[in-house]
Amino acid sequence: MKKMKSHAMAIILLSAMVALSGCGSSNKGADKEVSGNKEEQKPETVQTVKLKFYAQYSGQEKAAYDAAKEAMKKIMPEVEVEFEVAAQDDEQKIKTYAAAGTLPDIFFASSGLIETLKNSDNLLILDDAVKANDIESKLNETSKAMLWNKDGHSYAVPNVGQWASVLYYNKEIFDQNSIKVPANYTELLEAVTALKAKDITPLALFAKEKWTGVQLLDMAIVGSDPGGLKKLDNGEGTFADEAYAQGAKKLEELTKAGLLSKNAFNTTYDDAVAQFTSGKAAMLLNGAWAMGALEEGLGEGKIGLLYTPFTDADKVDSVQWNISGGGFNQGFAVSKNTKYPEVAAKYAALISLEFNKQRVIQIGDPNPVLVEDVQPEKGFTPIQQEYAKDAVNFKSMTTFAWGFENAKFKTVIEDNSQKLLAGQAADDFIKDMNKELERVRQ
Amino acid sequence: MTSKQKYRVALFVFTAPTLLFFSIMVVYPILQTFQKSFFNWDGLTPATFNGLDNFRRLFQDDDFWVSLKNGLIFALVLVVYQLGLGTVLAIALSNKKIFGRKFFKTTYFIPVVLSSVVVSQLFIAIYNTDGGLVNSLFTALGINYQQAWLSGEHSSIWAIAFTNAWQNLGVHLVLIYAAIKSIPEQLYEAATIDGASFWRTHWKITIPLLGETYKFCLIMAITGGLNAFQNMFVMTNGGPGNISYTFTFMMYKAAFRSGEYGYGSAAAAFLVIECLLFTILINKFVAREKISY
Repeated sequence: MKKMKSHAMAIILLSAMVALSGCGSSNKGADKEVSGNKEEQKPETVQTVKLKFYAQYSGQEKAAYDAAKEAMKKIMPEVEVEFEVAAQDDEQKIKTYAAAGTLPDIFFASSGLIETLKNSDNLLILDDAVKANDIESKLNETSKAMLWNKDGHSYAVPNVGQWASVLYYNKEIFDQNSIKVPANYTELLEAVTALKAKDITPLALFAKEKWTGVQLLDMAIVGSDPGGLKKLDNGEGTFADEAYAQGAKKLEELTKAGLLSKNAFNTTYDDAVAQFTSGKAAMLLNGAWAMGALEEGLGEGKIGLLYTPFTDADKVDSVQWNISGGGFNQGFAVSKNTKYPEVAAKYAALISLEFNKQRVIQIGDPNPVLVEDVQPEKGFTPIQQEYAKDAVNFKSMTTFAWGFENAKFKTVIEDNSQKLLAGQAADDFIKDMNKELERVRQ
Repeated sequence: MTSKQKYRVALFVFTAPTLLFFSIMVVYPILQTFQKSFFNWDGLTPATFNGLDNFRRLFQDDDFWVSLKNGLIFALVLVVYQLGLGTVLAIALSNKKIFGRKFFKTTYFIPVVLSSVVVSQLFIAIYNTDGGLVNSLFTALGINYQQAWLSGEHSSIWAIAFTNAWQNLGVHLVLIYAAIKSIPEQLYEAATIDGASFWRTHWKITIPLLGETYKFCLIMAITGGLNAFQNMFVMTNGGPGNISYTFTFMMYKAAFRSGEYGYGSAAAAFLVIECLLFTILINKFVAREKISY
């Protein structure tokens, strides 16, 4: 009986093997046929180069990436790009890739990341690609500085312009409550007090993201010193300097007057935007990149821009175009370990320009890096037109927190500016910061 | 080969894969963390030996003392809430006269299976200054005590710790409940015959016999409190400033935000030592003698 069973099992297994191998061989045949046809149809072409591209391939920028990729197919048809969506993780993933020696061929790098990867010899110098493709002549004057690192080399070709950091304000709230739109610090303080008295949150700050507090402080400083916090990041100055101490004291005063909601430090971007667009908050801090979405949320003609509302009244005329925000030498960079350094460098350089062009066309970016006059598909909204007009006047720019080169300074200023906005005395803030500055500069 | 030798070989064969896996995944990273804590290292460039500098800096760092204090507060809240309330609820649920015991047992356990992110988001809404449940409750009771629970220097860590304690109460409740159910009935019968009251019975019989369980729960609660991270990451991002930092957060900041992996490793090494110290102390002083019925 046992023997019969085992024979039966063997027969079943054998039949199954034959059936499966039959299926396999017929499939193989089909594959061969298909591939054979393909080979017949395919003309003689150059070898395809596959590049991995780590980028913010999501949200509204996805359309710009797709269009840029399509445009690049005409310029470099031999390159096939595969996007990997970048994580919003304090650049941990890209640094882990670098540590493991598996950096993607092309990736977005800000100044801070460039500094880290440069020191660890992970970045390809793009000087040759920049010169060979005449990149500099295609960039407008304000964007040329973004192409070069302080060491004189190019590590990334700018893919976006230098956005300003602004306070957006809801025109209706100011009108309806007869509050003057602040043109200087005294008026800002008065506006904050008046708004608070009417139970309206003066400023919606998504301070759960620590960079927003830093930017507010930077805005409070640039009215007196155009170098802003970028100057401290570069190793110059301290909070003992008048402009910096004054900036901190202004924030202390505004905080006491009720500038922020007590929930500001648990507030996400979406929450802050909801407060602003629903009329619960009168102002919102963000980069100028958000103007399109905010105008859409609040309604056309209802939103205004403030660049330097923290400036003393007597200095307004002279410093009104000293702007907080911006950034230097950031954009698409190339891994030193890429298998195709020349192709990747050329591709990164050219797609940077193409991507910026598509940002204008697809999402109406009014802050281009190109000399070429590109117009958006849907035209500019009123606020985008206003910004484009103002941007021509910008005299100086600082940076956003992710553009700081000294990562230690970045974390210290992020934590301490949050403390200041949570109610810490300005004198204590200045003392703490000066102590930390000594350490981070060692 | 004698039977004793055969037994040893079998023991080795069966435990070796697990030990090997444990060594690679747990022991090696811990040793590597200790090693890196003596180096100045940004995670990418070659590390340079700096002796005890990272540890010296640790003790001078404001973040360190805030993290130490917060870790201990977190552990205290977990111990009091999870072991204290867990014991009371477990005793209540083990009483057959309680109506709807199964329903309550399930209900108390539900938060355990929820994601920490979901629970944290829920409690952000509860602690909201404007119209959050806690402040609204005070208003409804006519008490003028409106707080910025997650931003206050003195309230933030307690509020976050409570969130974690609430979520994981069910684990401790189940452990204590299971331990109570394993206590022989005749001990309670004897106490009843002797005329002991309800509370006296539990005070003299239940609590002492839970010693082994409490030992495990204490280790879980204290080490869980000392290395808390998820809740503060979601609820406050460690802030405002550093007021809701713990050692894990400090390690995260140093390694991943500042690029100081050596210093971050020193914070991690200190955390390991701290957890080990508490585990040793608990093992030494709690339920030293094995209980057998």
